[in-house]
Amino acid sequence: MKCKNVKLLQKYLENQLSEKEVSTLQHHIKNCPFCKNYLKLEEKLEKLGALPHSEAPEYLISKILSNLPKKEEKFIPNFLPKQAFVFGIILIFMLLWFPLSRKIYQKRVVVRFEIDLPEAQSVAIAGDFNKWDINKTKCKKEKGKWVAEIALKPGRYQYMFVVDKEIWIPDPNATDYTYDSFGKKNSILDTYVCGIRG
Amino acid sequence: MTEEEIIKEVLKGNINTYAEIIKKYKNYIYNLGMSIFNNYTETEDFTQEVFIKLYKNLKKYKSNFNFKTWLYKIAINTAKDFLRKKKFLPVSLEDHKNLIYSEDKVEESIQKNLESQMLLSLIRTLPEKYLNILILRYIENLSYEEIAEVTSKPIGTVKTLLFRAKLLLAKKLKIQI
Repeated sequence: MKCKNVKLLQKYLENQLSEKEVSTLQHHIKNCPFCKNYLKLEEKLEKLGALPHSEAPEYLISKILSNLPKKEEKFIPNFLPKQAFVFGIILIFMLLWFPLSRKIYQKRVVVRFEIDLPEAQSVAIAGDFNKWDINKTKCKKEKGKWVAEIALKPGRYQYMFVVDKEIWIPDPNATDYTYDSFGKKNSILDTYVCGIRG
Repeated sequence: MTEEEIIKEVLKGNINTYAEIIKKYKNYIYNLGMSIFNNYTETEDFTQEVFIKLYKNLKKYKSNFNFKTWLYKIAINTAKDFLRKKKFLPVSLEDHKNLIYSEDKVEESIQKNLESQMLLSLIRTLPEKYLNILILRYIENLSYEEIAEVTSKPIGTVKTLLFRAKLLLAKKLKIQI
């Protein structure tokens, strides 16, 4: 059981009690098993300091010295504060990024594809721009025509219409045509030639 | 050379002067490691890690801080990492007895301190926050103020932790408190 005098006991151990308080407490300790045992444990703990101290072997010094990290920041000139260095890096990054970003964010153009196939159940477009995936660009029926609009980066693309998921046909309105390695006629879209088709 | 002068030299890139710091403090750290881990390999790794961390952080040292306390702070944090990472299992009392008797050279002195060695083994089985604080207080003889600085805790918390640690220890010793 914890004793209510435990705080006094702590002060006693820290020599913070008056003579009168000490004598009252000592009287209490004689009759309190908690305080008696607490002091016994304290005595045992204080003996720990007398344990022989372990000494580090001498070879440890050279081992530590040889394992110290090499100064990495050597390439930062000493006269430059770190902030200036960081600022420099950001500046270089921005300078590099500016022309790059123009390429990456080149304006896309919206291209409209149309084909007149009233009998078809479904029409899709497959081409360079969607890795010839027949499921990616599906056309919708609009006033009897199959229509799709795609935003593309300016460039030259090959493509074909895929009717009912099976029949591949070239775009009758294409700007140009070419023959692929299977001997099939592919339509060509050149955004530089036609701008926005429609 | 004073400590501050040594640190300035080391920061200039004169690594050899760092040996002076290691020489001066290695035994404190090694002893702390042995008290916590009771294992030579672990303690050697620990000591090395502490001095490498100290070296890396030397430029952050401010002279208004006591250097030794600052070093202990690094050491205690490193010890925490070691205990956590390697999940070091404290040696049981039985293992400890075997360890003691197998070392003839130190047998005599250890025999004399058997009771203290046993107590230390028990302390090692306590949770890390109690283990560290007891070792700093009773083996490294740090004051409450120093322990507060080392552990970044208010003095009141340090005292409470010590008190709880002692209650736990008493329970393990089957002393009725």
